[in-house]
Amino acid sequence: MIAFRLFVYVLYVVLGMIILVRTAAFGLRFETLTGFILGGLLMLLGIYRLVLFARMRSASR
Amino acid sequence: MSSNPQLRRAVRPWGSFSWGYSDVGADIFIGLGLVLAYAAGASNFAFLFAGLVYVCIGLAYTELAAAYPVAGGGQYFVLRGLGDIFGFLAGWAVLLDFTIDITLFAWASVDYLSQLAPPLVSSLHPWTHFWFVLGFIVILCLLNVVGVRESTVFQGSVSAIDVISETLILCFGFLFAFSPSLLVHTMHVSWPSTFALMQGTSLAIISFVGLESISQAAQETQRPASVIPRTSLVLILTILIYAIGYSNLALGFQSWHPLHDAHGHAIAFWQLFPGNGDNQGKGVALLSAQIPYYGMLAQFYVPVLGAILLLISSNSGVFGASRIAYSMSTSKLLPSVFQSVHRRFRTPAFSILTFCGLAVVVLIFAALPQLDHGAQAVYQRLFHGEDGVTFLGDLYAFGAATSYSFVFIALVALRLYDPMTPRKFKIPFNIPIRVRGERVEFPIIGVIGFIGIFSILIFTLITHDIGRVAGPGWLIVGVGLYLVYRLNKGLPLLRSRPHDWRTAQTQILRDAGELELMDEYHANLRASDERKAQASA
Repeated sequence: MIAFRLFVYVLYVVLGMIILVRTAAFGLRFETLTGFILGGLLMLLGIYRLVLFARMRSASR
Repeated sequence: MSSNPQLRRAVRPWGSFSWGYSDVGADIFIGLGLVLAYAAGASNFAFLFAGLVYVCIGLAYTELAAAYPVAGGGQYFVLRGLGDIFGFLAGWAVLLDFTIDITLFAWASVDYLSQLAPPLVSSLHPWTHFWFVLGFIVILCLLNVVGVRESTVFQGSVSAIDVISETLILCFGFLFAFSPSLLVHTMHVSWPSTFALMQGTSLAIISFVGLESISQAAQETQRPASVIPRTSLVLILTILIYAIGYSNLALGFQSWHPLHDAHGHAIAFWQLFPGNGDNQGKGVALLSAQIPYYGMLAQFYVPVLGAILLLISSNSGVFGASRIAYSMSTSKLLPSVFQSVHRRFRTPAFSILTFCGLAVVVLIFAALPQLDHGAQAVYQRLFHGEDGVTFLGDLYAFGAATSYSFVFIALVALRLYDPMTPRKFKIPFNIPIRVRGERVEFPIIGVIGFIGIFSILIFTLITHDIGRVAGPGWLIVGVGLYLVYRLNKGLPLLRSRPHDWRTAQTQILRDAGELELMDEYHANLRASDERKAQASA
């Protein structure tokens, strides 16, 4: 279960990066704004959950 | 059995998340199709605007639910911050939302099942669709009267499967079916009129309704002041990502199988929704079926998963309405009959039957144009032919925008007039000021959120013919009933009756097991009293 949760969190980060890269190919313009926000949010959520996970693991030791 | 029964605090972080997710997470299943139908090429911006407002609402609920962990939710916050009459209005608007929630989600649940069972398609077999929705409402009503709720394990499992499914749909969709150039093209070519964009934005807010569940969970969560902020932030981010992700994906989606309209012309994915009430109610099922590779599996189980999740959400409407009515009744905002419990089942049977009965009335009103051609002509003349699911969406958006507007005002009021209550989570970006000799923090996000949600309320009133009439009508009827009740009981009509909030807050924190916060609260009160005594001396 722990491995699966970690996989999902890493998946968020990777997917966010992919969306950011694909959106960046079109440059910063009105139509790509939501793409940048989506990619950024996915990465933020993934990193936030990884940090929470790491904190809980270190606290339980 | 205790003479003063309390809810058991057994909900842990995942339970708290899944409780909120099973309520808010189901919203995108309805919201996606509706918003694509109206906002077309600007759907992602409609979701982004509503999503930013939702973040503000979510932060407000997180702060308030952690500071006042009671089940009353928005109604309680407003009662505490603004007094009885506004507490009633907020609670009454929430009751409208929960009542619509029962019908809307039961309706959409049948729509999702129709993806696998064509005899349930609303436009082709309106009576079958109607009887199924009615059957779901009656079953949920009976289950709640008897006292059967879906177990936390079941709710948690459905939420977990849904989070995985929605993430996989996004992954496969963005990796194999998403074309950024098509997204840019669609946004250029299919940008809607300002009126349609306002209509779409007001419907987009329904993808984010259900934050009451955060505060409802608060009363049953272990150490709510610590757990609620953590789970709420993850919940808010997750829901926002799905809403923006799905709308972007839908606009830039290259279908695996070619899609055609009724005349055989090739169409883009998002064009499945405008003017098609059947499709609007099952947006995620249609999207998942078109996802490369994963769609082969998803087309069979996502409709069932969606139907279950929507039914859980419909059930939370039945449960939530009875609980809010109970809370309002104990605050002397509604008659005491709403506190009565069934002798045998020990459930608030009167409340459950009342709001399920109202939900059936709403269902009849929503389904009438499909069931009867004469009614269809009348609706066409009066309401520009809004279909059932849009009518329900209108009222849902109205109720949510009204109650959330009051919650933002209550947030500001409580920051100014109750700075003593410890806030373990506080919304960022505040301006320190002094009010009545106390240092308080004025929440900028609260003001921004209020402007955002109030503008959505205005959009709803401007663009929705039925919402414009039925929403304010519900509030006017409610105020009338409230005044009659208060008059009969000899209570102040427009002023508040006396409340001892200090004792109440101490009791709330003690019941929550937040003893450190209770000590901090008492220390704050002592310091404040000393400052006031010194100032008066």
